[in-house]
Amino acid sequence: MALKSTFKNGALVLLNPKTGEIASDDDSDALNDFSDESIDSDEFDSEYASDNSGEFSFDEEELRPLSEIWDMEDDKSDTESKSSIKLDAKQEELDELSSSDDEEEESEEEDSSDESNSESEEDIFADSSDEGELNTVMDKLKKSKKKSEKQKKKLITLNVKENEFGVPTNGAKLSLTEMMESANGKATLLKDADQVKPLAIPLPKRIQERNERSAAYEISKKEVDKWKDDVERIKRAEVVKFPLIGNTVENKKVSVFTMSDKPMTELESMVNGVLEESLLTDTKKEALFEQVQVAKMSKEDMIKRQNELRLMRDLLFREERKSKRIKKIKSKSYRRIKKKEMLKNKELLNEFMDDEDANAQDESRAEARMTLKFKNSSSKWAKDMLKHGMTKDKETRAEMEAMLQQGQRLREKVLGRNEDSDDDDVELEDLENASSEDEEELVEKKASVGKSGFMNMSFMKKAEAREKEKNREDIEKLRNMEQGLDIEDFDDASTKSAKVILNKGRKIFTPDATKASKELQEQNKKTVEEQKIDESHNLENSLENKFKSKSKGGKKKKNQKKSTDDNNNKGNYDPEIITEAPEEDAEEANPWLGENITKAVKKSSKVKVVDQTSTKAEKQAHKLQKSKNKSRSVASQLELIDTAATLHIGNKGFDDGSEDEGQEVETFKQKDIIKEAFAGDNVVKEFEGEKKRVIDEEDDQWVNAEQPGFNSWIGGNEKQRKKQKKDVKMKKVKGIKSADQRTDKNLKNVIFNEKVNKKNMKYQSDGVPFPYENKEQYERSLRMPIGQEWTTRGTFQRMTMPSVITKSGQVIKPLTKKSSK
Amino acid sequence: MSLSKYDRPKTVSKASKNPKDKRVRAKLKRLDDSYKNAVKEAQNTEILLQESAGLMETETEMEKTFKVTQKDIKDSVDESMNRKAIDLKLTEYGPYVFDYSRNGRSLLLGGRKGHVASMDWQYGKLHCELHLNETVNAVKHLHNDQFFAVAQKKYTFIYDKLGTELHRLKQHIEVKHLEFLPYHYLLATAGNTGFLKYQDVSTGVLISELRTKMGPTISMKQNPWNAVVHLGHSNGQVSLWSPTMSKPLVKILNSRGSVKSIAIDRTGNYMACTSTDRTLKVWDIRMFKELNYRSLPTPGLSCDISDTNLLSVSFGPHINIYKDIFTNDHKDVKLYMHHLNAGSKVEMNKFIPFEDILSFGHENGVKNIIVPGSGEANFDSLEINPFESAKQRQESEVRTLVNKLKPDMITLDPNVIGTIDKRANTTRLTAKDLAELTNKQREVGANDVKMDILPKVKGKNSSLRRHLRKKSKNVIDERKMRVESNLKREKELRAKIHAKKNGTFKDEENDLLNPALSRFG
Repeated sequence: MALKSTFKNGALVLLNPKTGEIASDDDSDALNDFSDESIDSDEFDSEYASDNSGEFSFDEEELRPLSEIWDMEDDKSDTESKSSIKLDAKQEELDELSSSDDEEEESEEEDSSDESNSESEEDIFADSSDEGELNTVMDKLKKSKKKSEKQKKKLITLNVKENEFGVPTNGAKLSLTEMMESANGKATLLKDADQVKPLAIPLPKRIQERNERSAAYEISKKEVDKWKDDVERIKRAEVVKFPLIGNTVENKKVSVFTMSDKPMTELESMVNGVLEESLLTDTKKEALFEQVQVAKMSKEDMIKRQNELRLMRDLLFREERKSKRIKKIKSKSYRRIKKKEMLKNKELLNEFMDDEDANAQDESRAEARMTLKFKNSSSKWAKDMLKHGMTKDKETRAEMEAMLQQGQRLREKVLGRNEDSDDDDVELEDLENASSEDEEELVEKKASVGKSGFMNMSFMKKAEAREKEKNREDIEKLRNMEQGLDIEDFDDASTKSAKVILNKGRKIFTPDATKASKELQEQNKKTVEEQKIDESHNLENSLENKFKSKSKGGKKKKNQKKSTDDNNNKGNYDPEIITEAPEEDAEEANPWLGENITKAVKKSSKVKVVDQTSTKAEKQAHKLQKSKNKSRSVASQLELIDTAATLHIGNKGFDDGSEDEGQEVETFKQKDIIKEAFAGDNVVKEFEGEKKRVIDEEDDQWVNAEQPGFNSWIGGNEKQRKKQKKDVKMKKVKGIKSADQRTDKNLKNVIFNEKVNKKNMKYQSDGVPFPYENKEQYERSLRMPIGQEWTTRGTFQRMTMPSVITKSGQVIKPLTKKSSK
Repeated sequence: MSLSKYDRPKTVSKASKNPKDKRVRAKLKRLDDSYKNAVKEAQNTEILLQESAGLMETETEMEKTFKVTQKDIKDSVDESMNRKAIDLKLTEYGPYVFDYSRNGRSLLLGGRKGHVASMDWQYGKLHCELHLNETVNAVKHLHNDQFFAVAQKKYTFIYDKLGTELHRLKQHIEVKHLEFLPYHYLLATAGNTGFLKYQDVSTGVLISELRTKMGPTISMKQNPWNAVVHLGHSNGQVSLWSPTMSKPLVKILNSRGSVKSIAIDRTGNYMACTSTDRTLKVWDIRMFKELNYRSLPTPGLSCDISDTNLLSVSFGPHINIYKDIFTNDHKDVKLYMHHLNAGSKVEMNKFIPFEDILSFGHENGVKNIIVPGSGEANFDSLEINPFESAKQRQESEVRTLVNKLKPDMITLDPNVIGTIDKRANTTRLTAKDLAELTNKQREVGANDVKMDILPKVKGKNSSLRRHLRKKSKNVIDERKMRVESNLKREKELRAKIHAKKNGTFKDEENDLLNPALSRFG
């Protein structure tokens, strides 16, 4: 790797961020030979290898002006021995490098002293004029360094057309005279050093490739996304019928009753005559209206336009509504949050932009490369297209045009024109001007860009001329288009007729031509739309600006608030405190936290309520009370039961629910008789007993938790054994259903089988099936039976319709994107 | 929006109303829309139901509908209706039981003393007539009029329309009652044995035998809504059965006396029971609560509920027909009609499907009486078609066979099928929840390691032994010899190991040279 210490416009300048020293590396091929000659690469290699072990830094001494190197070459050719001395000098430099490279000035001085000591070759360095020059160079370098330190890594686009001999010189060319000038002491070369920004180190290949990949992915994604809407639509549709409706050709024949212009009957003609006499008829206007408004537009266009208008109106309306609603929101917190969010977003965006700047730029460049948009008509693809006569095809044509435009834009950039005038219409105007006005002006303009530029070279000129020709054609076309837009009564015949002049002096009669004319029309429309969109963008921009200003205001407010917060901390009165105070109160009233006002209130009340807030003592008291009550209630219950039992004995019969309701005496008698007759059968008793048994069986069971035999034998002491038996640990075994959860808990004369029917379980789901979130949703989906027996024929057919229906005998074309917006 | 009778109301909570998932929301919305649409359309189809139902009404309060005699009705109705009020006098083989096919076209008669006849009662066309010389307890049409089952003295038989005996169901012994579940193709029988048996008549498989443990079954009826079979027992209980449960789903204590007959309405909401204690009780079998109560002069022997919710009860020679009995209000119940079949006890009564006619079998034959407003006015020909042609019958047979339900599906609440188990989680578990659950279970399992003491004894049944055992003992061949020697060696080896373990192994036998010289020995 050879290090070339030459400076040139547009040269790559390596900046070492650590030491802040500058190393220059020129890739330009034009200078390659020269530098190779001038400096022994081997020497530099060795030097560099030793450098590599330490920091990646270069001594300023290595950075020499061209003139020096030029001289060096001359000297080299003179003697061999000098080189060895030179080597020594280099060695010294190296030592210095390794020992200390912190104090630049010192080293500089030392260098100069060393150089002065050295022999004839070093005379150049000792030369006062040279030294001065060196100083100026160094100053300039330092300046540029300072500047570049502030800036981050940036790749400067080489403002020259890319070719194998292309030197990134911004149009200027390094000529021998210039070099000689520098040797004579006029450092003109570095005059542009301020303007030229240093190029950053290119991103690692890995990252570059990644960027390229991502760009390629984006492109392909965009392409695929064109189908997204249609695919989504089809996916969502309950039933898809092929061929799709959009693909079928509509029958446009419609029998329409139209008024004939000529009067049919006598009366009519009479009336007409009178009307004409009195100048009341105006057939022309009507006809014009018909022609102008409707006849000009095709049906689809009308629909399209209408839809667009509708959409715009709808959007506007919605926006209005939304803004109104948002405007109405009075909540301070909402505003605050909103503001915060916005600021945050902004910051994030900024951060992101800063960080990813280099990356993003690289990505965008990669994308441009992928799309080959910057290439001009000399690109391989374009040539192919031309060769195979694909230019008649509308899509390729459009693409080529787009490409051309892109190339134009880039070239414009190359020539260093005002970048602001990027807009198409402006460009168009420029081009128009260029073509319409004398070309000399243009030449002058170009000349002003760079006198010595290769634009003046013959082949460039030729190419330019060619391009110009092409441009003119393009412009002509575009102008035609524009005219077609502006003037409503544009001569349709020119576009509609099959004759279309594609090339000068040649007429082509093709069916494609009509197509092309249609395309032209469409394109016209598109351009108009685009313009509109551009305008809307402008509107947006203005809106954005407003928004920005608002946000700034928000910021101010925030600042104010901050200050108020500070005030709070200081203990000053502030309305914010008030808003927060009740919350604190509420927190204090939390029942879990302890005994406060609420407790006091409760104490005063007669009815004692024991809850979590009450104290331990209270709870204890309550418990005592409870136990007392319990014992009392138990006693009362016992009494109750006794009475019930006696009652039961008194009845001694089948207790019917309907019995207590007043019925006739006769039935009473009958009942008595029946009771007597069935007195022997204790059917009811048996049933109740069975129910009790079933309930007990299916209830949770308490089982001895210990192993059988465990603790059963202890020894002789009888009492102890009994005690042990009492302390048996019991375990609860879950039964089929606990007594209080039974379905027949409150049902008289009914025993329910609570066992789960396991054979039934296979017809039930043991969990909520996938798309549904809960049981209810799923069961709601089952609400509607599909079968013919439960629904009408129409419903049944609709519900059992297949999701895809294809017409037999119809060709199903592949899906086409309906609207690529 | 008011609820129509086609609505299927379901409480919808907020959570299910607006699912989080967009797709589910869209799906549910679609379903809801289609549901609403369906309800609307169903309502609109009502205009197709051209027949209107209605009951006999009196002009003044003094007039009573139950005082209208059959003669009065016959005088006022048209000739075709009159022709339907047939009176079959069969004095020799009575008392008679009978059954109508599901579409009400075919009448199957069964005289206790062995007379079985199948006929198209409206045309008076006899399909077949059998004299079985055996007691006939019950007759039943199967899915259509092509087959019928007859419960005879011991066995149950299946005949075809022309009276050819097709099957003798030898597992159905001493059957007193027959029921056919048309959607499951199950013939249910019960009788003196106290068993309830289900026979699949399409495959011929006996699906289940359930022991009621309550003595002879007195009465039997199926719930047409859920295909649960209700059995009436002598201890006054009514038990509800599903073929897959060995115990009754529900037991109801209906009365003190034995349950003589059961009737269940079309919707499966109400059950009426007559008992020997002369009661007629009406139950709401959704809630299992007694709704209404009547006491009859003599025990009711049979009862039936018409499609329009008229309840007919026969006691002795009388037949009472009640209306509005399925309410909680005792006073609201009105005796709609009354008929006295003088001189002959009514054995059973039944409303004819799709006709305003009550048919009853008595000791001297079978008779039809006109009960205005008892039949369903509008039939669904997709379900049951009274006017079906032979072709339609065949097609519907195939269709119903294809749509046959499994016996497992019989439950108290058939709507439960397809839903989510009550014990399961009400919300769908995410993958995370599931993982947690399984982890927890694993942990619990780790803690709950059962400390079962496993015997360390190995199984004694080795393959060699098995071979020896299987082989006949008196045959000695090469393989057997080899096996025996192997076994012997194994045994020795085991003994050796055992001895070594115990420390009783005697090494003196083991000469050092032994292994080397043993082959010479």
